[in-house]
Amino acid sequence: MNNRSVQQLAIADDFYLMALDERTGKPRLHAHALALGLSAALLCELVLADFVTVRADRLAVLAQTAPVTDPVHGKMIQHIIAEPQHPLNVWLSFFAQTATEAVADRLTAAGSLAVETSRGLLRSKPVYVPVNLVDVSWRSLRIVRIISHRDLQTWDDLALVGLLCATGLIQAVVANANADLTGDIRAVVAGLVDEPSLHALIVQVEALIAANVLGQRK
Amino acid sequence: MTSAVKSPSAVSASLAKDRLGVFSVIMFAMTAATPLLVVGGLVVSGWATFAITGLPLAFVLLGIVLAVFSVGYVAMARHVTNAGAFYSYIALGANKTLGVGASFVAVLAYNMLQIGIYGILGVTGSEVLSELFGWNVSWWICALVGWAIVGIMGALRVDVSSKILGVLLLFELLLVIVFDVFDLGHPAGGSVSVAAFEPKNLFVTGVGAAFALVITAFIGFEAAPVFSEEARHARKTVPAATYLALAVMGVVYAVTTWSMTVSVGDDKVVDYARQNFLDTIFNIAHTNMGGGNFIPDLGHILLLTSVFAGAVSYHNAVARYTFALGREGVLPRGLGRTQPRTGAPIAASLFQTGLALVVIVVYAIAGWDPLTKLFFWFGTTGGFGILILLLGTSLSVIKFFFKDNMGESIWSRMIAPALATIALAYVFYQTVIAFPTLLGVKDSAPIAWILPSLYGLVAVIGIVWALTLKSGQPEVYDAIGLGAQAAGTVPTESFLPAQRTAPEEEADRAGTATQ
Repeated sequence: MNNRSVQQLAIADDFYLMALDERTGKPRLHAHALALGLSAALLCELVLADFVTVRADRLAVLAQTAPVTDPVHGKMIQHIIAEPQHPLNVWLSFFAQTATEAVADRLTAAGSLAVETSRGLLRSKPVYVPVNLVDVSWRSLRIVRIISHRDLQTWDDLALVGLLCATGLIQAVVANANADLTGDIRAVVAGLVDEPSLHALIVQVEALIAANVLGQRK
Repeated sequence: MTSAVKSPSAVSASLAKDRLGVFSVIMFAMTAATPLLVVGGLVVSGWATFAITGLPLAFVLLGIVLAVFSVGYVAMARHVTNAGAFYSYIALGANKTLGVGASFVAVLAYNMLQIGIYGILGVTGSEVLSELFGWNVSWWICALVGWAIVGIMGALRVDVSSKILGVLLLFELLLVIVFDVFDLGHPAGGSVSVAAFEPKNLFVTGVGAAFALVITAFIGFEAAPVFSEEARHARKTVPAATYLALAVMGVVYAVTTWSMTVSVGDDKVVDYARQNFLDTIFNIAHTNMGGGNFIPDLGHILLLTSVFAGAVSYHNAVARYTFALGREGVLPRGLGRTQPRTGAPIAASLFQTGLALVVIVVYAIAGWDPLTKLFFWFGTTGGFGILILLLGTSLSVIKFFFKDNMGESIWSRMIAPALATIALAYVFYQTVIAFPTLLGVKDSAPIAWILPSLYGLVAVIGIVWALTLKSGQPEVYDAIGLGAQAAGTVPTESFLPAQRTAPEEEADRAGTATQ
């Protein structure tokens, strides 16, 4: 078991890897939900780092005691400071426009993903492929273990499980588990009510993904 | 009072890039128009069944009524979260209990419309195969093939590209305009008669049958508000798209129907329809245009694609409707699930596919005629259900704006909806008493009151269910009409716990405009 497999990753990084199919390395979540899920994950990272909080459906930047080390976080905070008037769903949609690429770049820099250019008909597009599929499947196994033992240790993992539920990815993640984990999942995410900012983000992103189904476009 | 200069929002600008422009919204709204299906299928079936020749006038009159209805409809759409569904308006404007009743009526109506299409799909497919290859394939085999394709597309969330739909519509319109020109150029009896527009040819006993048919033809005009959240300038685009769709449909359907009666003669067109059925529109044109089989063959193929596109589009509408109700908890929550890889409302889609299969199989085994008893009966009964929803929505618009005018003009919030309500009530009354005529059965036939009563039945079931929810699961009751936003106040099917929202936040979500 590789150290890297069981370490705590940033929420968005973890979510991205879990959204990949364990056999093919391709996404098993449709692009729009992936982007929104990553957008929410990044915002959860900001909340849990005490950079922002959710107040009455708005994002509020908190006075920072620790420096912002992640450039992705830095850009997000700058946007939020510049335009504090927007409600959560606007922020989630806005950051979703760039989240997938931003998180993929982060994972590439960390060595978990590699960039390949695929030759399309007219232009070549960069495709991110996982370096090690075993590492990818370990992310899901880690979460399954946490859920089945109801052994939640960190707020990060709580946010992660919440996001998996909100995007529907949880079904694929627990698909290989030995038992029916429905009750365990419910018990684990129940803790979200204690963290209103996380809860608000996760519930809102689920609504946005559902709204996309109701709209006529993909 | 000077207003401070506000720097433009980078966030809003960035999101606006992804939004639909005016042209896209209009294109989406226009795909409600299906000229060949309506004039070549619905109108011809209507002539064969109840022999009223004043249909062109009916298209014009009801087009105007629906335009007046749309005034209040698009005004209220600005303040409704789940703007694509009539029941949301009724839930918000009247009360949530009636809203649930309306939602059940809607699910039944749209299902009937969709399933009815398999009748004409089967027959048209069979005819095209016979024309092109000389094969003799039963209607129900073609219907099942079409059913399977629609079902697979729905489950995989494969939509017919709007560009393809747009191109098909363009071809259809061109073909139909060419037909019109030739038909009007060869009038029976030498001169162009406007008898089809004379009120005495419409307002006969059983006029409600004509009304029901015409309402069915216009269905789809109500789709534009679905794009309220996705459109760049929704405030202007949504109403414009709605009126444009109504105008184009009204004019094309009226003129094409009229030119057929002109060419054949309004005293002969009913018999012609009874003999030629789906070939009516093509045979008339062919007689006037001469030439080989190319135009009729092309026409049949376009009719088939038009019908197929209609089947896909209604399937998606039913699936989305059922999905929204599943998310709210009004229907079983399992129906609110999506397939992660595709984002398809898979449970809702498969449920509708299953219903359709049952009906097709029953009709195949019982040997009932698919064109009259499946396509026409189901289609117009579905249209009748939509008529009920239109009436309910019109009343709800008035009630919604009664206490707070929300900045809408008195024309939008009261006068237009009131006029529309009166007109729609009249149409409703006429349709109910003319149901036997509509179905082409005797006045005493049970089917003539069973079909419309189905709506009464499901509405009552819906109302009783809503009252049960109100006392047993109040948080579900509160979410009625919110659609996707129901996640904000209610435990979702996927486990997230309920959040206690502050009362003013809840009112915010339920009532305010989202622009």
